[in-house]
Amino acid sequence: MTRFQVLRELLELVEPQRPLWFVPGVGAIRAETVGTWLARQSPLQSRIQDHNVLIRADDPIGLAPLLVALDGVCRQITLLSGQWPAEHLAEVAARSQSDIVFASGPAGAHFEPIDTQSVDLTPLGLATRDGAWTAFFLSNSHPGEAATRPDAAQRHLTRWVLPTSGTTGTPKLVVHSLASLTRSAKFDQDRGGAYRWGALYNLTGFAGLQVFLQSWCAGSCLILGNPDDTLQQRVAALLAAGCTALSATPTMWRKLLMGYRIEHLPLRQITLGGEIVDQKILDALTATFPAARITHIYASTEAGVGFAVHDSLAGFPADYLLQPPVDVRIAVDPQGQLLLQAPCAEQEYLGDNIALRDERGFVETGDLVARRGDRYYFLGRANGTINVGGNKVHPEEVEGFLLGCEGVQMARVSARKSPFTGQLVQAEVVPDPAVAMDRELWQRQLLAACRAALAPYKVPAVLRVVDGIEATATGKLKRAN
Amino acid sequence: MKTRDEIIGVMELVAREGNKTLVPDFSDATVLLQSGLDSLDFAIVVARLEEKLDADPFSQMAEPVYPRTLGDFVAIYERYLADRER
Repeated sequence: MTRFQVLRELLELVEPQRPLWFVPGVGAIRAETVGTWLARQSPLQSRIQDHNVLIRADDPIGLAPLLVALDGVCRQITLLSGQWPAEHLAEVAARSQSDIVFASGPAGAHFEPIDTQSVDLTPLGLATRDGAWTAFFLSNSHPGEAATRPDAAQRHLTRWVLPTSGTTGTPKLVVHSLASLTRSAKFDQDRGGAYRWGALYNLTGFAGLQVFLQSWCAGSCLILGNPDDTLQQRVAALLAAGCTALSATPTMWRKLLMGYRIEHLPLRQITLGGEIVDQKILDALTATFPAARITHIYASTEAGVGFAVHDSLAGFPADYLLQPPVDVRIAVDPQGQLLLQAPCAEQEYLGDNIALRDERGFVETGDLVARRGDRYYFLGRANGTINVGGNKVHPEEVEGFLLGCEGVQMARVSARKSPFTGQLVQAEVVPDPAVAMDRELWQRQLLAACRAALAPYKVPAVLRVVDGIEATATGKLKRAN
Repeated sequence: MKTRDEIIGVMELVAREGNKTLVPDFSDATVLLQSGLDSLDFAIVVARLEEKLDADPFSQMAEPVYPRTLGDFVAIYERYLADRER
């Protein structure tokens, strides 16, 4: 089980006929096909060598080969979701000092590239769904120069940069390496050949990237679905492809159990992550897939993978604090916040002068835990962020909106447990006594105003009109827990 | 009001609020996630019903239940409320 330093090393370790990707409607993409395509990318590779590259994409069909082509060649890869607002691309490019942007579709309109080059995926049998891929060389890049440098043949250990989720304002950029991203990955290509991975995340996010890397490192086959498909179409594609290992959020698993015939999937590995995993979803998955191994993973963009839990119980064993299951030390601070300390302390925030770790080398995860018996259970985010089916909501944003509505004197927004989406947004509002109103009508008007202005998952599922909201001794809102 | 009418009333309200329409042949056999509402909408329906009925069978029952159809959904509430009264 050799770990490799650069993604393309896998191609020397597996037999040429090994399917590495499966594209619905196209079929298996084998190792030799990927190798042949890669060999033709040398003109592109010589142009990106030594440069910092930014990728904005959701289409895994374009993304997967590109990551293999770039890793170990360019100095840095910054990965953004295709949902990332195109008008903010230039700002992230500047912050990450990226001088080449890979994107599909019309993203180029937001730059003044000095040159562009298309990326041809057709030898792989692939046509990307959202148009051809283009590399945009920005004015601060120097195409051609790298190829003439004496160390041009030297391989880089590429830095991988991922934006954080769940923070207010502009996300921080976290620097990883392939080593830190694959710390918990299995590199056993003999066993890996038996797995066909599917993911219901975008590959550009931390969880999706983990599935891509795990599948690649073990030489498994990854099913590259279309993120624009409906869930029903995606499940049909997974069934047709014979998916045996699937990773999704608890909310996504609940949806799959409620509406789709997923019991026909021949699953041997079930992975959950991205949200608090409750006992109900674990029990339901155990009952539906008695033969599958069920793993819930605790990870964050900042800390990387913290640990995995395999015993089909919610939370994690308190023993993990004394005997960490992998080489990541686990601690809980006096406020109940989970702390993680990884052996390769490589991750840093890019460009910002903020320490990612405390003086002992621990990363604050921002997640609160509480011990009951011999296990720790997750309570939610320390800063009150609400996770509605994987979508993060800052209570302050919704409170701010409500306070701007007519007749609202005070507003408090908090998380409410939900059996389907993990959490929901709930709000309490105190009416201004100076404004005469019909409470019921006003409540409906407030909800209508929220719906007109906020994303659906941010709109309070339940909005109560109350006479008062408790404040703490310092005059701050007392947040319900 | 009968539990069933109460539930359908909340679904209709949530649909109206979200400018959505329930499928025309909305019946016990309708698959919930193909009814015109999505999983966030059903999470809202369950929260609103908890406010009304003071019951969230999905969180409170011991066994894990993920209803597929409207019939399943209504039956879970009816069974839970009947058990509670005993």
